[in-house]
Amino acid sequence: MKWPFAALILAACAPQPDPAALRALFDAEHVARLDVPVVFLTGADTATALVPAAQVGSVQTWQSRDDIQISETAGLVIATHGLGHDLIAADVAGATAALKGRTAPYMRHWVHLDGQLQPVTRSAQCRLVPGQMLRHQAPSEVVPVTAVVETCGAENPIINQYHIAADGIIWWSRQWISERIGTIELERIAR
Amino acid sequence: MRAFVVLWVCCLVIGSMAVGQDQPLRYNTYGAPGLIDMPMASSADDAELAFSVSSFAGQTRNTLTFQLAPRLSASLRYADLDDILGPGDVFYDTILDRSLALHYRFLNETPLRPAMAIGVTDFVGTGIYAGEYVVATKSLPGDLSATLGLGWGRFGGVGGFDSPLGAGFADRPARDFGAGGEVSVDALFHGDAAFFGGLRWTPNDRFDLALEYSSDAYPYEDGVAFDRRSPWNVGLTYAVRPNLRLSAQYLYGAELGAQLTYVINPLNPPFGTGFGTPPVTRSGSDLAAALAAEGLDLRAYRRDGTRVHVVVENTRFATSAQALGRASRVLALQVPSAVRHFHIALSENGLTGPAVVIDRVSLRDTEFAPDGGAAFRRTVAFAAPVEAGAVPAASAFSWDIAPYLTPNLFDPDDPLRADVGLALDARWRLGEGVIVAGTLRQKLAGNLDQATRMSDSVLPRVRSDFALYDREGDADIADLTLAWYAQPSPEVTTRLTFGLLEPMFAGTSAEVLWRPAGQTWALGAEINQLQQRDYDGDFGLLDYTVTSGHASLYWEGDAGYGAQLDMGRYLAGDWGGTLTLSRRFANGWMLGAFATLTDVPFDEFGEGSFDKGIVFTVPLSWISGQPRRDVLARTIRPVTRDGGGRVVVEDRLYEVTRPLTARVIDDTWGMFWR
Repeated sequence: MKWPFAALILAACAPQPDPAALRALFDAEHVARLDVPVVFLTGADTATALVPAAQVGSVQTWQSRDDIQISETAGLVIATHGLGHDLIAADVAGATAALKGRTAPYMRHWVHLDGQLQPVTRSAQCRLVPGQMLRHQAPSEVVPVTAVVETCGAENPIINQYHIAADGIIWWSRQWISERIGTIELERIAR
Repeated sequence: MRAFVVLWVCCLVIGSMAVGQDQPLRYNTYGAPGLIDMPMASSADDAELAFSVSSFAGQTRNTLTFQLAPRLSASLRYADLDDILGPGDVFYDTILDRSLALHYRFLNETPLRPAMAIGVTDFVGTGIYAGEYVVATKSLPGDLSATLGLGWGRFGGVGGFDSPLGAGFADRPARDFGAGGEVSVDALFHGDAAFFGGLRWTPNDRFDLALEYSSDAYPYEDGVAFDRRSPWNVGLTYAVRPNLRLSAQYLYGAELGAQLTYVINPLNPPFGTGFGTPPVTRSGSDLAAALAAEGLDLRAYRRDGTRVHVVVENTRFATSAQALGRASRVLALQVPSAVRHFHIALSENGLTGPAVVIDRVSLRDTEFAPDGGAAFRRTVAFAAPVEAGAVPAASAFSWDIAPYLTPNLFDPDDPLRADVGLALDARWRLGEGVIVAGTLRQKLAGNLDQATRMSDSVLPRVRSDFALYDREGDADIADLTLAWYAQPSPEVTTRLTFGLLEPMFAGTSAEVLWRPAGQTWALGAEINQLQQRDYDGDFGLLDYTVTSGHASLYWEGDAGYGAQLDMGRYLAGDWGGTLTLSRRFANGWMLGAFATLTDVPFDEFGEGSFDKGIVFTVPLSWISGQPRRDVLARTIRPVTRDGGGRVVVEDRLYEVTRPLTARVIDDTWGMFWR
């Protein structure tokens, strides 16, 4: 037996998560006891913590308790679930190479579904510019990172930002998902 | 006239410097694309629905406008008009008037050429708003646009001149307000013509200002409802939100008017692809349980070497492709690695569609392909469903409680009546394809029982006694049926339904549908032996019995446009046909209109002359963003009379089997990986 309509009403009335309160849960003491990596997501009208759910090849999928999934490769988001105006797929081969040091411009492609459920691809030429060295304050450690800005397109450009450590881990990023969502922030809480 | 032409030529010259600006559409007081009270040559975004209410001088117009196609829109209007002096100087305190308008943009704007449109209004109603026009609109520099039109009828009343179409169009026959409903084509583009036009300034997305010269003389309202002193109107529109606009107008040197316009577009889902549980990533205890966790009832299973064949019933997802995607991933996690192909068929009410053949390696390798699954789609094939061992139903009984709303629109005594309450829906699957289902409703509030207008129909009162049904009892059994669905062949399905079929009729309904694979058409036939139910909503029956039935032809073309033709016998014993034209969207929205002509003469039918109306279906998944299969479906008739009435039976075969077809699966394929 079920009460699907009542569940819908309850879901609609649920309070929005408080990013600051949720983030405060991940202090050094709690993070030290974690036995899995954690990524903290803010944006798209939500704030939530995600843990690894599956690994297929180089693609790592993270999942939260509130049914949000983020799939990434080398820290670059290639698909989302549960955000609403989700990213269906993305071609990040050029961006991945650029993060590893290739300097030439490259193409990026994002796939979304239109109102008729047909895939629509947005493409843009991108350039990745390394910035200054920073010290990223994770809950249980301080990590030296390089701030990197990725700019895609000339008119109304998509701008992504990454804080990447020497070992390739992206500790913090702001990545574009879709026109309606805009960007989300992903912060690595623990390795 | 010369001044208009000179002004227009100037606009075109200046406009050649402006390359088609993307101004937000404005809806006029008639709820159609326009300036203030006059039309313009613009069109809304494809599929946009606009609800508008405008009021001035006791003239209130409620309009629903649908952009049927990128160039064609239709407006359905319900106007509450006070103080009207009709033909023959007959005075009306109030007229509640329904009318239909069409607007077609036949030329797009270019840097050197204006957009041009043609339109007709009120050609099937009483004719109060009857008029036709050809109109051109050109963008100008400085966020301006200019409009010039030539109108007939209502739009040819001020500064009129002999018809430019020649002597054959010189005279416009007078319309009698009458009962309405009859199509009047002999008046189209006849009689005097006149120019109208105006300017619109849209400095930003929030505001726009319009100034227009109206050629509408308001022949039935001037001097009675208000005193028309000037042909000039000015209006200001403010967009509270992108889809909600408020307008204030000063009209005809006489009155202030106000308008509210709300727009919605089925192609812009508020929650995108939605929320809900993400795809499963870990294996479960067993296949049936893992599928059930995804809202999929395992109905049959068979392993055949390196293939597994499964039949699942989708109880959760609005699109077939999403259900298939979830089933595929569950199988990939649950079945032995030796299995290389999954044959998955969807079923509804025991009826099974073609199997979708999924290559397991492709499924694994292309989930995150940067093409969004296009290459994977090419590896998927459709095959005939195969015999597989039936699995006992995981959940044979289901129920739901949800609020209901039963509006009754257009009653002359009170155009908006409604009841609200709670509806208990229960469904019990006795065996494969054998289903007991019912709906019990408890009214909580409303005023449907206050309707006092009694039917004056000379036909058997199969629908027009709706007020008696509304008045009797707060709780009723809306339907309670036993249905048996069968599938003699993959392309032929049958249904036999017995019981309380709908609030007004009980009996037996038998149906057969032939839906050839890969075709855009299907054929069906239905026969019903019916007895009218008592007004109290219990098990009692009235004396009236009838045998009704139809042969039906269904067609769905490209871009979601479709038609249905039903020919047969209706509830009042009348013979005839119903044509339904509709547009469906992959996300589950459907909008359509129907008209029924039977051997009942128009004057016997009564007000409206023949049965007609609009139908729409809105998926609740679209509204809520949650994965749901239920929909909000409504039929709205301007008048409920007895001719052309058809029994309502739950789960007719065409709609039940539609989600199972390869075509629908293909149309929704984008949701496979969701």
